[in-house]
Amino acid sequence: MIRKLIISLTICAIFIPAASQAARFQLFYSSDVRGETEPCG
Amino acid sequence: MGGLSKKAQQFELTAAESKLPHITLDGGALLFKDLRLTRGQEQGEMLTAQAIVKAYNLMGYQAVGVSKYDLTAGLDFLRQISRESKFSWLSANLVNKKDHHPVFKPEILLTAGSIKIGVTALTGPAAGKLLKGQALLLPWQDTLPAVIKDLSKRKSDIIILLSSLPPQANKEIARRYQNINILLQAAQDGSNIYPQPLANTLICQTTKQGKSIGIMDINWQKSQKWGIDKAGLLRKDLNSLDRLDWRLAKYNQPEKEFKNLPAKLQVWRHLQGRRDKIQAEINRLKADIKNGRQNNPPSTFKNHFIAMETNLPDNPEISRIVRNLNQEINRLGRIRAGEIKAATESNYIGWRRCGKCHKAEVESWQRTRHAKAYETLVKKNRQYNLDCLFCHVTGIDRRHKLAALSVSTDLREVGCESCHGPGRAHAVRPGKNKMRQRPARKICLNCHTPAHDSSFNYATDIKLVHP
Repeated sequence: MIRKLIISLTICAIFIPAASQAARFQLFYSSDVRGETEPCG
Repeated sequence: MGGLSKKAQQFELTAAESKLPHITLDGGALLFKDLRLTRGQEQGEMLTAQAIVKAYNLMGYQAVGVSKYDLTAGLDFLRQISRESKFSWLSANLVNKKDHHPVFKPEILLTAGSIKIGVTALTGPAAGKLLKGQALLLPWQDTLPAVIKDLSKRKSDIIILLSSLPPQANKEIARRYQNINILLQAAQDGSNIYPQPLANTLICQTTKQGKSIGIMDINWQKSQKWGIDKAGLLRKDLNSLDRLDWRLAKYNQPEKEFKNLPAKLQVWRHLQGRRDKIQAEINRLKADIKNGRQNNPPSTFKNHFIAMETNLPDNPEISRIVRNLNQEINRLGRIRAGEIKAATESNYIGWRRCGKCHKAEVESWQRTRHAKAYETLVKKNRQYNLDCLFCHVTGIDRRHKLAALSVSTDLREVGCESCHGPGRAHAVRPGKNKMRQRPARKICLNCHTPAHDSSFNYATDIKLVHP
């Protein structure tokens, strides 16, 4: 019984913070590179 | 400015620093400079497109919107490119002529942490001409609703649209579809656009030629509505209040002290007025934050652009791709140069001849960067690259780039005649045929374009040529 409780709590501890942190993320974006790889010289 | 290897390095550094999950998208207009391949440079331009895709694969891009600047070499070429791409080319309105089935994926679902992000794209109308009857571009009104519905059904928490439609159409979409949360514009001419909320859509854009990247830090809440980062504003206001209090503390009894100094008294009153306003704003924000905690907090974002300055570090792997590409383009240009007949006599005579009479001026010019313009290309192994070359030699304009391959040795620099005009007639009869004295700004702008030299300043930079 106690073992089950510990396992349940551990699982909760893993997932609860993950769910609250997941709301934050980053978007890296760009557009219009238009065939440019680097400046000439 | 610009450069894929700098962009890659900035993405890598930002990701390592923030440790947040991220997605990487490009609005489109990725592969070509113009809507037509340049005569004599077709192979080089297609190789460039392939190299960009290789670099994007390494950078971990997940989706790119199809725009007219990606269709320059035709639909078949883009199909081939899409097979080489590890990311998805998206377009919801580019469809096969026969069955109206999308040519590329209309949408994808990405994840960042536990957030599901639906991404779709719309191709702007000008691309229609480039399809040469192989495919059709449907109006966005006919295709977008179904895609949005599908992305919602797939439980997207947030929907992003990559659009090369005109800005007016993008605004209309934003007003009509509140569940499109971010709209990334492409194929527009203009500078970076800081995300502007319109209804519930943030419209943003980066400037062309890969000169900038955008980083948006998103705090996405269940409300799925954009709101103001009130905590951030409160922090800013508290700092402002601190600074103002520090300044106001210097005044002891201003009303008495500045009795006969009305200007100073006015400054003090102005500062005091600002302080009262900020304090009122702080009180309002504190109350809002307190109330907001009980309700659904809004989603917030912070955005910044990183300009690809020349002093930023390069990513070695992407640098290698670009270096190999440049070598290949140079090799093709060298072959082409061998095929072109030596230049017939032109009106340009070269700096050595100018130096016979204008010794001091030529000596002064030799100390400038103009005198080493060709050498810089040789060092970079790009002296046969037509896109670069015409601005590093004398007497060639951008409409006749091919001729740059056959100029004589004395014209392989930005010589005297680049600014003062062709000198042959002047060399024969100097008294009668005068040279242009000070070049007009527009002469410099032939090469010092905003795209290639964003910091060019005619008034100050002209002194660098003749100090």
